[in-house]
Amino acid sequence: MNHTKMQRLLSAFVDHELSETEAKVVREHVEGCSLCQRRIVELGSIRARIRAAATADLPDNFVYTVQRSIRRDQLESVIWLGPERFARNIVAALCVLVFAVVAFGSVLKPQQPLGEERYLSGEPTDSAAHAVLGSQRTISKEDVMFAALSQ
Amino acid sequence: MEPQRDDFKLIEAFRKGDDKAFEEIVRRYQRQVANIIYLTLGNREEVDDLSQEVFVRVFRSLDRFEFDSSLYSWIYRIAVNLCIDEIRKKKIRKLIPLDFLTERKLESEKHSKETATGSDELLHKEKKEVIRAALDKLSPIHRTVILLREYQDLSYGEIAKTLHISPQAVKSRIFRAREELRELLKDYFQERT
Repeated sequence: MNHTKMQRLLSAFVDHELSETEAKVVREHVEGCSLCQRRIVELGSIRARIRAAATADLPDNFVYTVQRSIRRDQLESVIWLGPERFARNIVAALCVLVFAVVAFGSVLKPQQPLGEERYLSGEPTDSAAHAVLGSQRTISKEDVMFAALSQ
Repeated sequence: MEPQRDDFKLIEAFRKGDDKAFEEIVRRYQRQVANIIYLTLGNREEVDDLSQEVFVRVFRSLDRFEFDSSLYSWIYRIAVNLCIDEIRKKKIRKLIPLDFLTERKLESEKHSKETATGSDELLHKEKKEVIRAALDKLSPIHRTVILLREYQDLSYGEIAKTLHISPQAVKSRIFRAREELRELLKDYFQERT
């Protein structure tokens, strides 16, 4: 096995990531190869130095700082939802209002037959009532009856 | 396996509304998270804020944890993703003159070895800076895999899950990262022999 391939194996060997067969091959090679022995020492040294360089630490009250951040995050979520909830309520209120106006209007409006139906049934039209009563007044049902009798 | 079962119990307690369980998770992993961030970004000033952000994200997502991986590799995934986002966002390599820093630090160590008059502490500190500078030289993906392996001691399978790559890719990237580090630290190794 050439050295480049062996060096690849060495990397996985120090991590205990080789199969038993591969590990055996590497062990046998390393026993007689000072270059690979030195390589293993270097790999161990890299690991030790990285661990030694991991010197960052957090303040003792870090967990409380995190809890504060979480509360702030939750509060921001509520504030963010506020306008959205307000807009949703406004739209719902407007829908209810429109429905109520339409429904109320349809209840209040008197159901009069169409002019054509009234004509066919012999009932005088509003124009006939106007002719009798003049156009300045609002025409009521009684006015129409009066106009019919007058005719 | 014991720590993993313990972690799962903490998650279940958290889901039942036990605030202390989350506190315990933070205490358990805060140092590792801080160091992953520190070693990946090379900037100590950002460690506090980003560590906080990691645990806020953990808090938000813990209800969706599916018990198909260990809690620590799941937390590291969040930390690593945050670091990668941060690198992309700020283009750290452009903002910080890493090459200059690296050369300076390597020179500095060499010089201090030549002129050292017994200040072991200073030497020790500078050695740490040398490895930090060397890590900065690696590409973000090589830096991440080597840190997850060497610092967090994750297996290739765990690293693969954390980074969503194949174990074969992990193996290959760890090898390449080590080769790069060996090259960057060759002066140090030559002086030792």
